[in-house]
Amino acid sequence: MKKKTLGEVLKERREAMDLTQRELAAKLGVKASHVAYLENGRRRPSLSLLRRLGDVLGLETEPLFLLAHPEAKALLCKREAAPSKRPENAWRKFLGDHALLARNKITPRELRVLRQVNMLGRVSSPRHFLFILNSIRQAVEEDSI
Amino acid sequence: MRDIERLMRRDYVRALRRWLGYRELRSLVSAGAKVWPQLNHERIRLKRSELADISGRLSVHLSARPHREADGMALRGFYVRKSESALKRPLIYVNTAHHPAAVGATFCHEVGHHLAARLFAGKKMEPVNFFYDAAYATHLDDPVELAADVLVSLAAYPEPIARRIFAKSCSGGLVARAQHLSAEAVTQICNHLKRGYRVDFTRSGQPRRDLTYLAGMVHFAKLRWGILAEYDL
Ligand SMILES: [Zn+2]
Repeated sequence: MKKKTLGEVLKERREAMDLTQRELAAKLGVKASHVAYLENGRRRPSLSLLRRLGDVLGLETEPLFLLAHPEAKALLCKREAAPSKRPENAWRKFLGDHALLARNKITPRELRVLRQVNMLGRVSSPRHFLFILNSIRQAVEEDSI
Repeated sequence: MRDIERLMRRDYVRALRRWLGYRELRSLVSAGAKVWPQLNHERIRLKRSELADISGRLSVHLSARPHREADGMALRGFYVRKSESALKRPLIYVNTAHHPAAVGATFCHEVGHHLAARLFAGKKMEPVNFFYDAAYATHLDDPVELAADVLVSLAAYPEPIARRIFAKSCSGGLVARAQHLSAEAVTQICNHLKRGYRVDFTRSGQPRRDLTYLAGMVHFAKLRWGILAEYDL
C-alpha cells in the first residue's frame, strides 16, 4: 500500500474537521494559498508551522515532521513503541467500544461534540468522554422538564 | 514548565492586534459590565454561591461539580452553544475540584464565551469550547478563546491595579509589546493573587497543579498587560 504524503494527511484531517483551506489558514496565521501549497506537496512547512498544524489539527508533530522530512527517519534511532496512554488511543478505544456506545445510546451529534475533545489532545481515558457527555445530557433533561 | 516558558516569551500585544480590535474589546467590556458593574474598576472575586445566580440571569444552564477521576483535573470547564446541541439554553460547566480562585476564573472565562458570541456572529463556531489546563498558548491563536480570557484578565486586574503593576514593568510608560514580565511585576502579581484570591503557589503541596496555575497566572497577567499597552484600558 502506498504511504500517505504529508499533503494528503493534512487535507484529509482538514476535511474531517470540516474546515476550508481558508479557515485552516486563518487558524494557522498563514495565507490560504500556503495551505494549498502544503496540501499539494509544493511546500514544506517550517518547524513552527508544523507545531501549529499539530495543535490546530490535533495531530502529533513527530509523524508530521517525518512525513515532511522523510530523510530524517534514518537519523532517528528506533525507539520502543510508547505505552498506550496517548489521547488518540483513548478516542479509538472509546469509538471501538460498541457495547459502551450502545449502552449509553450515544448519538452521532454527541460523537461530533466529543470528537472535538479528542482533537484537543488532552484526554487519555474514555471515561472522560462520558463525564462530558453526561453533563450535557443532564442540561438537556433539565430543558425538557 | 515548557508551557510557562513559551507563554513568557509570547508577545501578547501581537495576539490582541491580530484577533481583537478596540471596538470589539469595548463591546466585550460593556457586555461584561452588565453582568459585573464593577468590571475593570474593582477586582472581582466570585463566590461559589453567585455562579447559579449569574447563570440564571444570563439564562444559561450551570453545571458546577467536581471532576477528579481519570483526566478530570485537566478539564477546567466548557461552554456548549445551544444552536449546535440539543439544548434550549447554552450550558456552562465548571470543574469545582479546583481552587476556588480557579473555579471563579473558569466561570468568568465561560461567561466570556457567552458574551462574546455576538462578536463572532456569522462566523462558524465550534459547538463546544473546552477549557483545558495548560492550553493557554493555543488561546493566543484563537480569537474565541482569547476574547473569553480577556474577561478573566479584566476581572482579576481592574484598570487601577493593572496600571500600578504594569506601568512600572514597562519602564517609562506603556510599550508597544507585552513580552517579558519584570521580576518586580511578577512579585506584585503574586502579592495581588495572594491577597485578593488566596492563591499561594508555594503552599499547596501539589507541584504539578501549581505549575498549571502558574501558567494561568502568567497568561492572564500578560494578557492584561497587553490590553493596557495596546488599548490603554
Ligand atoms: Zn474557552
